[in-house]
Amino acid sequence: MRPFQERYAAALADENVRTGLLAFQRGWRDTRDAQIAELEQRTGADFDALRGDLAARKDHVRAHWDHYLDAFTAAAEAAGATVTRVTTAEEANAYVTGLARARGSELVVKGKSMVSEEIGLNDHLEAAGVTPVETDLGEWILQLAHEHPSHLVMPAIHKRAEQVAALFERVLGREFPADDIPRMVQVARTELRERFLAAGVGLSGANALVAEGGSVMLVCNEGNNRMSVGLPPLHVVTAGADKLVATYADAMAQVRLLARSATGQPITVYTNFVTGPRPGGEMHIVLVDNGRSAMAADPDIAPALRCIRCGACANVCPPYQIVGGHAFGHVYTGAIGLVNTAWHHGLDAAADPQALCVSCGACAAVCPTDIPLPAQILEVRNRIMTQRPQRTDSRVRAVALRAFATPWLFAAGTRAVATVTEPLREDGVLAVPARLRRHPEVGRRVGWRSPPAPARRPARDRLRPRRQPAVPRLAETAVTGRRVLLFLQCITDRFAPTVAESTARLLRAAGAHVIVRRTQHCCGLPAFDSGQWETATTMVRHTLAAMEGADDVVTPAPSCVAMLAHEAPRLLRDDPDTAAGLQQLSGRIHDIVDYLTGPARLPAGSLDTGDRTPVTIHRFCQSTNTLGRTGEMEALVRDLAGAPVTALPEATVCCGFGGSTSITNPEVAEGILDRKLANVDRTGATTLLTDNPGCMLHLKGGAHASDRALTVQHIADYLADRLPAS
Amino acid sequence: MADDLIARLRSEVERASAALLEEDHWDGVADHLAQWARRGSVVVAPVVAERAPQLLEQVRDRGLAVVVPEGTDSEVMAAVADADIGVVAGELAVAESGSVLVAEHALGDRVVSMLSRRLVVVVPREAVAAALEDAAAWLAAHAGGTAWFASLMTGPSRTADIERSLTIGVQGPDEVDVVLCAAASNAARPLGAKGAQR
Ligand code: SF4
Repeated sequence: MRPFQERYAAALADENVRTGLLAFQRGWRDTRDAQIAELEQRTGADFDALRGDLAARKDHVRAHWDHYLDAFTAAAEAAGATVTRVTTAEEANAYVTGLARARGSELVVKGKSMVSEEIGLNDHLEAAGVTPVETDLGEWILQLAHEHPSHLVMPAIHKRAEQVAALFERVLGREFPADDIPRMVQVARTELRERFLAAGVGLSGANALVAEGGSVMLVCNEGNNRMSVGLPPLHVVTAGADKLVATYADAMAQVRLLARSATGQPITVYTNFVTGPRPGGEMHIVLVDNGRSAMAADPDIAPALRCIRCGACANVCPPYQIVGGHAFGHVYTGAIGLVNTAWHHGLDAAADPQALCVSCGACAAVCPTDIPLPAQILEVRNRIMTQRPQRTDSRVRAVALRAFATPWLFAAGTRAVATVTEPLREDGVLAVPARLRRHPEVGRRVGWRSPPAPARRPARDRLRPRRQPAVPRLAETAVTGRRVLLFLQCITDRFAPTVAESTARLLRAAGAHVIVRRTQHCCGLPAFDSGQWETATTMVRHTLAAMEGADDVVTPAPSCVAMLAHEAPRLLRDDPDTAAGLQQLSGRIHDIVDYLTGPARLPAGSLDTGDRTPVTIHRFCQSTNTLGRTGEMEALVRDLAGAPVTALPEATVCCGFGGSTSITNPEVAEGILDRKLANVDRTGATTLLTDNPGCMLHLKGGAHASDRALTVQHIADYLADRLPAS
Repeated sequence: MADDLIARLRSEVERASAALLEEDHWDGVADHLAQWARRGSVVVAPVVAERAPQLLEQVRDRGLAVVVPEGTDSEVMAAVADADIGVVAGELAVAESGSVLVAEHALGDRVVSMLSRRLVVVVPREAVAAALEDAAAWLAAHAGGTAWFASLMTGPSRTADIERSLTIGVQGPDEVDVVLCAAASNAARPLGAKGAQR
């Protein structure tokens, strides 16, 4: 495979990738959601229950792996198959190639098999003088083009019809109009038909290995898979033992979610159960370990072995939409590729695309086997940082985070930048002069998004006890009289201090006694996200110490809530005392939206100034995917301020701020931001509200750089602006 | 057979771009085949030939040749190479998904569903099941010690691999008719491998 930087550059250079994938992701989302909703209605179980059930079935097998492996082997062999277990990719390749040669076969037809891609089987077959022919239409196209799949289910999703037509013309020497897709499909039928009939070996993967009867389950839509395995006299399966299920009923539970998650179909056209060879034939099942045992032995990673290769985690992934699977992943693409690559192809192969992930959590929300993908991606990043400290990326991150984690250095640094850049400051962002933006390296970083401007006076100074503005109490609420610690969040403190002031005013309006401690700094999220868990752990401890004694903690940043409630426990595994302290506090840590929706609820209409300007709302991706938020901000705007809310298309998709992507791979963050702002344009609204300060600065910078007449506000600012004057 | 189960099956079969027909007798099935066959012949899977010799007679009575793929591998493949219409036996129809479960162990049975342009699956009317679990139970009942090849088939072969554009009829059939036939029965004969290996 080509080096990552080359793959990344090629993906960016190919406009087809992002336009094709955008259309695909939108279409997939609609059909998949409709299918899942229908299944929920039909079964009376919600998606979490359905996927929990499938996950439990797969976990059960993993907990008794040897037992089910033996049962599968015994049943398959009783039906006449030969089952062989191999440890490495090399052994697998040698075994399969040896079989083909021993049977004198020069032609192999292949159904889609990710394991064969994983082990690089085609190259080995070719080197041994055996010709493998891919028979899945997408895979066949890629084989003719000498490319690799860019998606687990739709291998050639990155190719446009014109490109396929041109390829067919070149390879087959006939003309193909680009708009005549049926004709291209038919030519594949004719070209491949002879190969099916002539091949001595049929190769397949496995969607499931059913221990109960020794069957290999294979699904496909085209019919190629069943022809590959059903016609030639020798059928060879390469699969990982992670595909084991105990019973046929378990296989059906998988079937029910697989196609719905993969292509938004209720079921694939063919679901084949192959048990033993056909009369007069042979069947060999090669179970390839290649890192799977190590994954199984690692409790933080083992759930990744539930994966049924549906590709859903790529279909919702915003950075995947920009660069496709050739850059986002290795052989395995999408979120799962950022995890399992480390075990199948090594930590270095897994390290390169990590920075593309914006940590939005969308993958985990749709994964039909409930794999905690975002947490696992962060596990992998942590191992890269600790086991590959010499990588340039690791070293840069280490230095940057060290500076950031040192409160006085961060304070002095932002203050210095604030002073120097004061003349360029416009509504919280830096208006980078046009002549500077024309420089390619500068333009690449700030041309599409004006960077956030540090404030000269951070929130902590503005909120000193005696300087707090008086705010009339609007109502007696459940928080009246409570000591509420305002956790500023590092970004808000230094880059968006008005948001902290607004939050404080809203809390006072609800009757809370607001405390701002100067010992606070950062919850540890940036360090955690970069894989620097030691630094992150220190920051979590520091943050918890700064929160001591408060009745409640409220922050304008749901990202900090997600960090403290969902990620910090992982960091405190070896520190039960601090973990217990966090546990005690965690139900009392809120973001302002959550607090105003719950205990600090203000009376309906109490912020109604008569302003009926429609607003649209972007919810921070993790508010949706990690914290499970739905319509809280909309309700606040409508109920408190009385303003209409126009629904934002693709509201749950990330804005591109997350992770370190906007720094390391600005093109990706730019593409995601473009998608978001284009959706905002479609609403016609001129005010965009969001719940997370990071998103606010990112969106504001994008609106500024593109000269959009759009007011971007944190919802706390929007609501506090409507508080009655004291 | 509860009518609502069949109604459910029909809507799922149609959603999968296939058609569902109901016939009480074999002659009704033969009429359809005579109407659909364009080249004067119908390919019939050996399993069907064995289970329903009446159907073959009725097809011949309508002036059509009946081809049953048998013999060596190459003879079998040659028999079906140009087939425009093939008939196979369904063990079960699944209302939940509109699928038919077809067991086709011998090469002669497999080639019919794989290589025909139009595929007709005859399912006994009594073999309509509600859910995929019923198909699982069928598979479990036939697992154990013998080889077999069984597939849930749901509509015609399709692809969306070129620019996500849905195209019907790739490697497999481009038309599928599921015929529920009251006269058909699977009960009298063994299934899958056991049947085919006799
Ligand atoms: S990780 Fe989950 S969503 Fe991604 S391919 Fe695997 S099963 Fe599908």
